[in-house]
Amino acid sequence: MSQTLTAPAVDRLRPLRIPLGAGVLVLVVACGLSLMVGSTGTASPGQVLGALTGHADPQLTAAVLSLRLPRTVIALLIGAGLAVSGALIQGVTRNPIVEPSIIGVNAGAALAVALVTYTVGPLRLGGIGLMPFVAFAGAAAAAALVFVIVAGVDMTPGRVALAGVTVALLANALVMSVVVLNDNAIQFLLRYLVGGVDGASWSGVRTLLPYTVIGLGGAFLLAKSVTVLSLGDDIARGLGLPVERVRLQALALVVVLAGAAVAVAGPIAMVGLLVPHMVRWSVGTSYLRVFGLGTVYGGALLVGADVISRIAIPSTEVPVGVLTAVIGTPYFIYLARRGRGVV
Amino acid sequence: MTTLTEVLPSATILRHVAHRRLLVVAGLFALLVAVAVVSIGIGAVHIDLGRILRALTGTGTLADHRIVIGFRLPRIVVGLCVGASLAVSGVILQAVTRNPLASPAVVGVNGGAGLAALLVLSFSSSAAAIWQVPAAAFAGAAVAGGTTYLLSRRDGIVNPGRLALIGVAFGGFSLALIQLIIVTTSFTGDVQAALRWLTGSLWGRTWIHVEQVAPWTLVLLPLAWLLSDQLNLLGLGDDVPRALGSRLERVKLGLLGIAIALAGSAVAVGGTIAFVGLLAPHLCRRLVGPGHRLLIPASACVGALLVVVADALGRAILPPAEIPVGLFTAVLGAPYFLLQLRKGLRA
Repeated sequence: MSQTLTAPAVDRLRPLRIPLGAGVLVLVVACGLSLMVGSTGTASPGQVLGALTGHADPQLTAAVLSLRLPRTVIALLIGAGLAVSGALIQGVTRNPIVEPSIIGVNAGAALAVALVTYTVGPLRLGGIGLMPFVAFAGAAAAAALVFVIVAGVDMTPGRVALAGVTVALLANALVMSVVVLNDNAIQFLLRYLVGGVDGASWSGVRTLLPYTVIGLGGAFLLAKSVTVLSLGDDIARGLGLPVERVRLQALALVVVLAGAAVAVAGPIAMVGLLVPHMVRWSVGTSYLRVFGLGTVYGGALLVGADVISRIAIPSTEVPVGVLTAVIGTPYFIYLARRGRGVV
Repeated sequence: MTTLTEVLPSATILRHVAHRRLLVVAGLFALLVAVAVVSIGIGAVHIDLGRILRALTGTGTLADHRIVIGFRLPRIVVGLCVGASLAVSGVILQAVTRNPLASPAVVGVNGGAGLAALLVLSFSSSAAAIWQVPAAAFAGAAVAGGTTYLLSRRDGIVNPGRLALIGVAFGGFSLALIQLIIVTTSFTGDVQAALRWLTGSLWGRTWIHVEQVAPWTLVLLPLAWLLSDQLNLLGLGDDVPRALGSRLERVKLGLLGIAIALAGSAVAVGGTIAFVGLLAPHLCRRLVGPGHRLLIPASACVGALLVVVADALGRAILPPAEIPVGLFTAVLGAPYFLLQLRKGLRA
């Protein structure tokens, strides 16, 4: 793996206050909008506050509390999880153009969920507790496959990405076939394939929350090691870091974070690619900061994208996964064009 | 001390090799015809060879005639055209970009063609779509292929890895938009059909579709074959053809146009069948060597074989349900692509 993320010998300690403040502000605004905007019309901030404290008309209160609030929370958790898992992969592989969807994790999880849905039948509430584990298994299998393929060969970042994308393509073809062969789950699976947080409920939040907490917590504990590893294998070994173990731990966290996200909202691409780049650009390459800010930025990005997806096309909702793919792909192409040593 | 005559293969050996390669191409063609005829019998209703031949010659029963001539034969003809077109499109793209990983799917052409065709399908009446869909697929293929090519150029150089990466990203971008069209309520068409088409399938292809694709195949394949010498020259780098007086850029553009038209027409009727354009040329280089005069007919045969066999398997495994062709080609092609990637990109 050639070194492409040139981490400076001394981490540029840039002031944190402004990026963090801006991130939190955007996040708060996005969450506010997410609670205000809905299919039943737009409420004023005052009305939303009233609904949250139980002083608004019952209809709005119900909409806010049982639909918009869980949807906002889920978008926040998934955005944070995807951003941090993207930063984790980029850090431990020192590859600037990878993220969960590019190393096949999203598609692998989606395939596992689709297969189980197809063989056991459409998802019911009783089975939803098992779905994250199904997704973990699929995500882990896909990631393992990609890493087996690239292991032992001196691969450029671009080729690693190409291998991951091909595995994802294969998994997607299999998902498509599952859908084609199975009439009854078609609409559900179709929505699920593209990735979206509509239809969110508190049970979805309950499913997602523990894994997000575990994943993010683990990432923060691992942050120091990831920072050292991002300086290069030799330096990390010289400093006594168990390189392979850190890499495996990081991948396990990625599988948990991305797998849980896929289990609840389907595969959502490119959040994990965009956010780490934004964060590193604004606060430097200490991964403790990258994960911290990534949580804020990732949450803000997905909540914001979800608000846009509700109003982009009148009378219908754009799945948020489509939106992130449309935003992210040009940036991916820019990265692929830019780097000397990327391909 | 070795003399030249000991190192260079003698003319007799060369003639021998050429002879054998010609035989390989003839063998492939014979195999293709045999497989095509046999696969007519495979499906929810099994028909044996004698009845197939009687139906084809017009002496069979009415029921057999309906199934063979009405349903299976057009489907197989479409499969032959689609497979051959995708394969030869891949041959041309690999020669022009000097990139062993190039294929219609990899340079984003499939995705672009698919997106454009689906847009037309969802916004026009089915009667008008007869000529509009292939036309749209061409336009989409051309835009996607052109964009990918331009984006992968840096300082006038198209790096093979970058071309593949950007093409695949562009394909993913198209796929996201395709899924958006299917998911949103603006798509009034049949979701099942759209999905099937997205995976690449010959389900329900009839004589109408033969009319849509066959003219392109019958014109463009011979045309590509006539340009074999130009394709061979491209393999020598940019300087040699220029020195030999080839109008390089114009030739390249013309060839790319043929490749895009082949892929566009194939995608318009068969959907986005993955990896045929990558697999067939690679297999055939092993069989008949790198010369395009034999490579093009051989690839056309192997591409057609891949699609027809995959389609027959898809009908045979879980009748009456059908497994889309694109699934088989993806399952075969993706590992092969990964293997090539691992080996490195030695053009």
